[in-house]
Amino acid sequence: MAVTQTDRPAAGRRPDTSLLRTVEASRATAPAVAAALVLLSTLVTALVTPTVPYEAAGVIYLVGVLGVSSIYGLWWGLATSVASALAYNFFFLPPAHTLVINSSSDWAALAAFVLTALVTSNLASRARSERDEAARRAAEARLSESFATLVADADDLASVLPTLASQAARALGATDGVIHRGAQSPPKRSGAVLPLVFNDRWMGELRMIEPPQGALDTAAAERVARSLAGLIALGEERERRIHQQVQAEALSRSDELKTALLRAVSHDLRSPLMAISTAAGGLRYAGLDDEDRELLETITEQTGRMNRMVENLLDLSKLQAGAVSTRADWIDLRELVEASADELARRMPDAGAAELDFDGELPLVRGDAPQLQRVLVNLLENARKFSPPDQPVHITVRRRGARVDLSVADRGPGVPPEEADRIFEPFYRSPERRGVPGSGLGLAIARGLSEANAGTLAVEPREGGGSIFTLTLPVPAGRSR
Amino acid sequence: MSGGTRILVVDDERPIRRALEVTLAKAGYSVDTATDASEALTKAALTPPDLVILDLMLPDADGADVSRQLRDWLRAPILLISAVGEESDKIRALDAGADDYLTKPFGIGELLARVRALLRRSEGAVSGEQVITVGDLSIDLPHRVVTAAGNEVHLTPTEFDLLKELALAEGRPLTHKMLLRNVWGPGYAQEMQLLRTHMGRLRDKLEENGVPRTSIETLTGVGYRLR
Repeated sequence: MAVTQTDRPAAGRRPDTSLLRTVEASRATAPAVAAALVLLSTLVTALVTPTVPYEAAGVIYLVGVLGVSSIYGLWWGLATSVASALAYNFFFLPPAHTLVINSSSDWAALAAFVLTALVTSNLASRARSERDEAARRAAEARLSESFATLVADADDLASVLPTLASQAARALGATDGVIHRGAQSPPKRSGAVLPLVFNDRWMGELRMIEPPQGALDTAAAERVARSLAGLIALGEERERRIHQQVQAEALSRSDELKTALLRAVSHDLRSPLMAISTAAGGLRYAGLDDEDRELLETITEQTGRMNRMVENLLDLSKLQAGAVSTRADWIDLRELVEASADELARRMPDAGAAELDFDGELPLVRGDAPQLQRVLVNLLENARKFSPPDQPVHITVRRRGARVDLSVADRGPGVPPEEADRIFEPFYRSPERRGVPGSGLGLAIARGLSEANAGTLAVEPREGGGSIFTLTLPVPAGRSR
Repeated sequence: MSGGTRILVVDDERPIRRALEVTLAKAGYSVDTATDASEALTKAALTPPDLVILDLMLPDADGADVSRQLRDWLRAPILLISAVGEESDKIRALDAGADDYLTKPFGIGELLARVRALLRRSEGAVSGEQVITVGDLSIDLPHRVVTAAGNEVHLTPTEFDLLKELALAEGRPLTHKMLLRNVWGPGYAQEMQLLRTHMGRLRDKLEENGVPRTSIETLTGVGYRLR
């Protein structure tokens, strides 16, 4: 049941597929029609020869030749010409009722007749084939249009393929057809299989049921195959786009969800910490002795530490979820570096001041300033933690063509080359640095935020010991200070 | 609840609200609390406070809207409490009339210092001073002359206007937008390049005259403040 349903083209959409078959069928009537016309011409000529000279009456046969040529084509036209010439000679050229021709003027008349008949049948048949071709093209255009409408209206390509196959096969004279798309490589073209190729891409094949002899070798079959292949390609492309759109929508929904979730989680994690630190702060007015004060100090300190860890974890989650949004604006690099050094001084009041070194003329760059400041503060904090207390941390800002390097140099133990990439992985702690407190998230976050701002972050060894961490940012073209 | 200076604390989290209430009360302020925007507006209307401490994220309204509604009829300074990464909300609230902000978690010492500074400014209000002095800097408004430890600092008119805006704010943060509007004009609110460039030059000149560059504090992502 299902097969008959899908194999039948939709009612009302069925294109004119009769073209090839009507021509085939009509050829069968050609001999009869030709014979009848020759007979008719002979009768008419016989009727008019008393008044018209027989040499001129041959023209009457041309009408028949013209008719046959224009309906059945060149070869039937020629056959009719020959039959007409024989009949004309036999009945009208003296001596009558023989095929013998005596006078040279009769030879000339017959020759003129044959020549005229040849030209006429040629012209008429050419006109006929042009007319046929136009009709075929029109039929094909209707077919293509019907295909295109089917593909455009369909929800998915697979559901219209049976109808397409059926219509195409019928148009080519088969009783029905099926389109196969599974095969990976084109099969050999055979009597019943029409390969569908679009721009050298194998789109499938049309398998026909009971195709007429030679139906697949025609130019029409070629065009139908091209049109089918093109439509299948179009349908595939459309399906791919719809799929992509659906995926993009799902992705953006899940991004929104992730962002909302992270916001809620961060609020839930921060609020208790905020309450603890505020409450602890309130105790400073209580009459505490030194030991109580020490305990209170511990609460405050550790809450601060916990809070930084929560911030780091949340930042990392946001980066990994792809939920970090950057708000780019123009940044003065000197200001950014100074603000970062200032923040470090507030976070680590005991650390010595960082030494800053700037190129004279620095371009403005574009980026999210708070995020880039996080990157620098993380690098500075790291550098400070690993450097001996008497060794200052150096920050250098250098322009290098279309990029600018912000380098933080320390005199710490240095990063072995094999760890140069791993130290940017979340939670990675160098085996030699286990003693230094930290979560192992600072550098991962720094790299994530650098990349979110179109920058890069890398480490290299520093001459004389230590490391240089370099944040590289692009300089917007044509917009320097 | 004696007389004295009244502070209205608006926060939807009870533990934080209570901790702030107790701490501020111990510091000698008389404290009122509200859990959301509508209660805050009602309480502020019934008994106008001298200062409002406002959580930026309230369940029924956002800090910028509450700031704007309060600012319509209340002169008391508004101190915002915000979380990390809420720069854009902070900016909107500051532009809407809030006076200052603190980022969670903050120390109580920091909170009390901000409260005192805001109250001092609002009491001294509209000083009408012609010469503003900040540290070693002295800014003579009518004569448009700036001196650092007695030496004149040569500023362009734009640099002077920038410094003047910061000085008139008396330690309050000024957003990028406020500075661009007040110094260059309303059409320049987005011209960050202008602000960055002139601020850099102003700092260079101050530094040449012995004033640390960081005396104009960078509030990254928000604006600037003269300290």
